[in-house]
Formats: sequence, structure tokens, C-alpha cells
Amino acid sequence: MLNVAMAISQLLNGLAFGMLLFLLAAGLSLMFGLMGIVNLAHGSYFMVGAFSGLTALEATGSFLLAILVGSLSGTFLGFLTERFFLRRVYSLRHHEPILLTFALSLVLSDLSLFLWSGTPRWVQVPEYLSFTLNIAGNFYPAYRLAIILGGIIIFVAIYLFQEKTLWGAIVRAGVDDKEMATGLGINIPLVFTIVFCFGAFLAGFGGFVGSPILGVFVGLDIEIIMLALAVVIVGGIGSLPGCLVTCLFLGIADTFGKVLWPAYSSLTIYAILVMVLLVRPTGLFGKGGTN
Amino acid sequence: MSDLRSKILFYLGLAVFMVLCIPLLPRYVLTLTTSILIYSIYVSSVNLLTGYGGLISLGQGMFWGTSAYLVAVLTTLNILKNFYLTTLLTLLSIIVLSACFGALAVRVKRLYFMILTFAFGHIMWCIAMYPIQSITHGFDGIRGIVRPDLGLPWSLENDLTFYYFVLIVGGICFYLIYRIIKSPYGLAMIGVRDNEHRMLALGYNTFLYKLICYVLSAVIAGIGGILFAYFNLYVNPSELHWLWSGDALMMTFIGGIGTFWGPVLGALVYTGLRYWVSAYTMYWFGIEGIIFILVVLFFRGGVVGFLDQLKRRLTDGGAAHR
Repeated sequence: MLNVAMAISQLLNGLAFGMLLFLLAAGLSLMFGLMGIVNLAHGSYFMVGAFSGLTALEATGSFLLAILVGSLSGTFLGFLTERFFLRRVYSLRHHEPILLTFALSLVLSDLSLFLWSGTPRWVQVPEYLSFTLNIAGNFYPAYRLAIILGGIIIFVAIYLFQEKTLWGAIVRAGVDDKEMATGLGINIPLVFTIVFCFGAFLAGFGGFVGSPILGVFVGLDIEIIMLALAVVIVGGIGSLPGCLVTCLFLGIADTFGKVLWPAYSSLTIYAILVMVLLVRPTGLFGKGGTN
Repeated sequence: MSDLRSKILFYLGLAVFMVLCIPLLPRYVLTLTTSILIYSIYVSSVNLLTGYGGLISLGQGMFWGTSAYLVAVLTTLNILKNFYLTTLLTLLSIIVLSACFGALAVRVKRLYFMILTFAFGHIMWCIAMYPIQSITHGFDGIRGIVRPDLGLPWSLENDLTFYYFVLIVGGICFYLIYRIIKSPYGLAMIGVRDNEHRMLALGYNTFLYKLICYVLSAVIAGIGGILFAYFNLYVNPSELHWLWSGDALMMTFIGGIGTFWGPVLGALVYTGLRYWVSAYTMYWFGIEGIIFILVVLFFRGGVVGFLDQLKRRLTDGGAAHR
């Protein structure tokens, strides 16, 4: 039922989807590691990024400009979330922050429904990427390969930034010990805001870049955030390469699930999640103790 | 002494209001009150789990929905005609289900617990949607449930008798929750919520406490689900959906988490507002979100906290006498 050529193209589909998940999960797990907050509104940045990018594309016809608009609208929403909502509830250690972001996602979802209506839309791949490449005997769209390549570049950039630069060191210090970092004169609230904006930027970027594949519709936010959360849980907190590997693994698992058992496909990832949590409650690559 | 007397007066007044006044009001108020009662049973179960147990679950709708589905399947397929047997079988299934899921879920903490319960709930939702479509009719849900025959002279086909039935069952549930909270078990549970390590050091089996809390709240949610199936006469997968579990958390917080009356007031505010707002706009979820954000940012105790503050301000002058 699955020949080799088809398996390869599904594998690539899975990788591309995994890269989109990575754009979301990288920010999500960084925020979780740094602030201990799970941002359920993160999927909304993804969706709003896609919608506003689409609007910009229709207005200007420039794909690059649309990417920029999508990413910036994500960043802007992230900034608003951190600065005006979450900052007031950091001191509450329990459920309020999570539920606050959940409420925000409800508001953003209805706002998108109001602004862009409920009809699913698709984004056309730009002309210069709408060709296909011959890979192992079947034709594969270049756009998806570009996503995979772009994902790798972004991963390497974030990794180098985190490990090799002063700012990366500051963020890592914040993750490890906030009081100590504050004591050393680091402006932790500013770090929070910047990290949050950066995560939201990646989400908005991923939202628009992924829209030719996933489509743009209200409900995308919930769908994607639940997968990204699954990634964060399965992969564990605190390791960027671990996050990437998990994203690719779950992306491929999800894609193959859709082909092999379409009726149960939405269960694939959660079945994996349940099994991983039972065997390793801190996740596959988790350092443990962060929850 | 006067505290006790005012308490008795309050409960007496409430009972008279619920039993005598509600039926005199227009018919839609009766139906609305019935649904609010059923929802408040469900929200109370969430409050027991989250407010007193400290476990935040995105899968409580799983128990509500599963029991509603069980009732629907058992009665529409004529497998079990007897109301009491149906209820017994449903609640037993809920206990088994929640004990199995709970044993896996309460081992992990906070966010992990939330996602794991979400995953379980999602699995149940998928099961209702796809694999057994011949029984559950997928997205369309199950129609044709009939009101139960209690074997008593009163027929529940009548909305008024059904209201009294729900009132009695609800009263029993709330009394049970009250007893659970006030029992040594409930106090220990609150201890686990506040400081699990200390309770462990004191020799409490915190795993067992959390598991029992999970099962108890699942059973109460299940009772709500049974009533809902008989009330609505129609179930669909949205009863199992995690958004419904999220709604329950919202209601708990809007009412006042960790308080006895919070869930009831939360369900009242939520259902009432939804009923009213839905007449004007389709954007109910956005409005719910805004209300919740306002509650978290400005009225952290919810409606109960707000009323407490109001009461304290009003009786400030009398405080000197006590």
C-alpha cells in the first residue's frame, strides 16, 4: 500500500510539518523553561500571523512582505500578551497564567472569526518556488523543501545564538536561576519580554510560511497548539536539539498516521504522548525537575 | 450563634425559592434553571479536583460526555430499560475508567497532568467520532433518548417533575461534596494541594489521595452527564470535547475557585450570560474569554470573592462588636 517513492514523499511531508511545529515549539519550550508559563495563546499567534500575512499578500502581492507582516503581527500580539496580561500574574504560581492564555486564545480566535470570517483559505506559493523537484522518481514541491531547509537554518541560528552569544548566555542564566541572574544585574523582566516576543515572532512566521500547506482557518490555532504542547511534553524541557528531534519525529508520525490509518490519525500523536509520559515522565530529552 | 441562625435562614430561604418560586416563573426560567443545576454539578466536580485537589484537568468533559453517551447508547438501543440499572452501570464504568486514567495521570505534575488528561479526553472524543460510528453516529450524535421511568407515580416527561428530580439529585451531590471537603480525607487532600512534599513526609500516601480525588470528581461529573443526557435528550461529541472541559474551568474561576458556592455561581453567571448574549452575537467564546481575563486580573476570587469583599465592606461598622 505504500511504495518507496510515496514513502519518501510522505517522509518529506512529515519533515516539513515537523519544521513548522518546531517554529512553534521552540518558542513555547523556551518560554516554559524561562517563565514556567505555558502559553496556550501561542497557536493564536500562528493563526493570526497566517491571516494577516494573507491580507498583506492580497494587498501587495509580495510574498516576502507578507512573511514580514505575519511575523510582526505575531510579535506584536506576543508583546501585548506578555506586557499587559502575563506580567500581572507571574506571582500566581498555579493555574491562573495557563487559563489566562487560554482565555486570550478564545478572544483572539473570535476576533479572527470577526475579521477574516470562518471560510478556510489557502495561500498560493510564490512563483519562484512553485516548481517541483524530482526526488527518487517522484515530483516533490520545492516549497516544502524550502521549509525544511529554512527550518534547519533557523534551528542552527537559534542554537548558535543560545550557546555562543552573550544574550544567549543571559537567557540560559535566566532559565537556570532567575534570582541569581537578577543578582548579577540582569534585567530579567526585559529578558522575559524579549524572549516572549521572539517566540511569538517565530510563531507568526511559521503561521504564514505554513499556510500554503496547512491552510488558514479559524481553529488552526487550537489544532497546532495542541500538537506543539505534545512536542514540548514528549521532548521534555530544556534541550533545543531535543525539541527539534521530537518535532520531526512527531511530524513524521502524524503524516504517516494520516496515510496509514486516516480514521484514527488524530490519535497518533497522543498515543505516543501517553506512552512516553508513562515511561519517562520528564520527556525524552528532559533534564527533569523543571516542572 | 447569630451566624448559625443566619446560615439556617439562608438555606431555608434558598430551599423555598428553589422549590416554590422557580416553578411559578415563566417556563423558560424553569428549563434554564434545570440546565444551570446540571452544569453546576459538573462544575462542582471540577472545583473538587482543581480547587481542593490542586489538579488542573483539561479532560473532565471526558467523564461528563462518556456517561451521557453510555446513557444514550443503553437507552436508545434498548439494552437496558431500567433507570437504576443504567445509572449503576454508567457510574461503575466511570469509576473503572477514571481509576485507570487517574492511576496514570496523577503520577505526573501540573502541566504534564493537564496535557495527559487532555490526551485521554481527546482519545475518548475520537472514539465517539470515528471507530464506533454505527453506534455513536459520529458528529451527528445520538438522538431519541427518553426521560427515565423511576417506577414512581410521577412521570419525568413533565418538565416540572424533571426539575424537582434534578434538584433532589443536585442537592444530594452538593451535600456529598460538602461532606467530602469537611472530612479528614478532604482536609488531607487540601494539604496535598498546598504542600505535597510535606504531606509525603508526614506519611500520607499522596498518590492515593489524588487518585481518590480524581475518581470522586469523575463520578460527580458522571452524575451530571447522566442528568444532562436525560435533560437534553440528545448527546453529541462536543460533550466530550476538551473545550467543554476548559469551559468548566472558566466557570469554576468565574464563580470562585476552591469555594463551595463558587461553581454554582459560576454556572449561573456563565449559563445566564450565554443565554442572554447568544441572542445578540455569535461571538460567545470571545466574550467568555474577556470575562475570564477580567476575573483573573481584577476579581481574583471570582463572584464569591467579590461578594465576600462587598459583605466585609458593608459590615465594616459592625466588625468592632465581634
